[in-house]
Amino acid sequence: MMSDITFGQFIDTGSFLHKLDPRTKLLSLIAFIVFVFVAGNFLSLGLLSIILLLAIFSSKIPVKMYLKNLKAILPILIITALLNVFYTDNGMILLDWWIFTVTTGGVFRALFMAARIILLILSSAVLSYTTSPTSLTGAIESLLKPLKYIGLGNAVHTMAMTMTIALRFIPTLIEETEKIMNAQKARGANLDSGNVIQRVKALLPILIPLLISSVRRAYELAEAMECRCYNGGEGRTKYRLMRYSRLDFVAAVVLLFVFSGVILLNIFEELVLKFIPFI
Amino acid sequence: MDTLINVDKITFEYENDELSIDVLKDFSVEFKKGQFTAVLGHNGSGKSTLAKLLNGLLLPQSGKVTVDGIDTADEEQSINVKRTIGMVFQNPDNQLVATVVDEDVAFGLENLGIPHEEMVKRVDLALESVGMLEFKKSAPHKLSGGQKQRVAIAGIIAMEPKCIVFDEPTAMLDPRGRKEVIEVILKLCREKNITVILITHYMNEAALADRAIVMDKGKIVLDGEPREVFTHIDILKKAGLDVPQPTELAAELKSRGIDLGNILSVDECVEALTKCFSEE
Repeated sequence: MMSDITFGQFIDTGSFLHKLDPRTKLLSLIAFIVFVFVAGNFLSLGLLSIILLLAIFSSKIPVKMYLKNLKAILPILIITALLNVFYTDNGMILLDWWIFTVTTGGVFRALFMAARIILLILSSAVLSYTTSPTSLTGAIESLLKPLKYIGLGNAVHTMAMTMTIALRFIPTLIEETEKIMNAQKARGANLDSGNVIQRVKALLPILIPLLISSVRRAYELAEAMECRCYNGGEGRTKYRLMRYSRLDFVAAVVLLFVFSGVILLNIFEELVLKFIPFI
Repeated sequence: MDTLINVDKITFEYENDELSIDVLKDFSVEFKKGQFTAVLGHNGSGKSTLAKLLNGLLLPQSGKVTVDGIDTADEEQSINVKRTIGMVFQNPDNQLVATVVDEDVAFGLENLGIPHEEMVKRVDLALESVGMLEFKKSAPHKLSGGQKQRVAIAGIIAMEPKCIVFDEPTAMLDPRGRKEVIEVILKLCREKNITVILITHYMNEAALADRAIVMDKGKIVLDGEPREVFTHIDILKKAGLDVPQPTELAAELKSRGIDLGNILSVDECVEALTKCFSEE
């Protein structure tokens, strides 16, 4: 059944990455992405790859799941790589045919860009596999809390509440869509054949009832929330408390070392290369 | 018994440019503390409107609704009114806010600003009293209708209201879910001494109440003990309600000279009939 799909990609394996505070994970991901772009050579990118591989293995989630993510972006990966191959013309010429020239610089550049994209995708996957959407919402709300000092406190709360409700209603609406589709099929609607325009037209009898019922649901939910004394974000206490633990501290220190390493490797590339004679 | 809710000569109509329909006109009723009242009525009898008037979700155009001494029209006290009178609606799906059961039960408590330690205690207690503690960490969409409705009830109980208004809580449930929910409602009233107002159109649910009110076209047509109310079969039928078959059978027999007394359930009917036959 469609409603059985888990929203997001959260898989609870109980690993230490799962136990980290969601705020730590979210901030780490943001910092990691920034450093993927800061990294200027293969050495620093390699350092980031090592720490990411460690994270992937310690998440206890089958590597197959991560590879699935990469498969989805394969076309983008190839296009980016190809563009970069032909865009750079320094270094030794490897191939010169008609208007295409492939140089060693181009190949390195292409590999470099592909590696960056792979790191971006895999690091985001680590976050979404190890953190439930609910705790992610909580993390965003908690991290944006300082915005209340510039009068945006209620906006932050409203956004978080909206996200929670959206997450809550996705399975409900999927179920409802299925019901409406079946009802329309029972009335002879033809959803799976015809050209594009016919198919889009066939969707209308599904979308309109869905829209109407969503509005009705929203209205009823608002009433139910009012009955439970919902009054916006002010004066609310939290049921789910978020606490940083020692694990979070360890993770932060490790990442700090890695990121300093990235900067050092960027600056002293030549020096390091001298010690590794085979490159 | 003390009065908890007093509805005094209210008028309410839905505002609509073209046609204005009086839903309730010069309507008065009282609800006593600790009592289980069933409000029966056909669609459009004004029973759901009455429910929403009781906790200030709707305000009467004239007249007054007083809850535990507070006027529901008093905006400053609006939270207190809703805190005193909890409400459970028909569609369980449209009442649950959070993606995990215990977080949903905590929603009302979060709104009231209850401290964390107390909140944890109250959530567990509330879930236990509806028999849903083992589903504490489940996602609402994985539960059955009856279970979802019980979670919705737990969310209200956690706020410790004096009264809970149930607006057709079983209308969308299967027979099993209906039974679960009714059992919980009875338990709340009998064991926790919570005042219960059950809006319904099922006569067999109303039979369990201390008092039954029958509404038709915005007016109370019958008010009294269920056993007594159910003897007025013609009025019930006129109000568009389905009279339970055993009750109807008893009335038919009575009109032909066999008096079985007031019958509400199949069991009672069987008992009275066997007794009747053995006497002959």
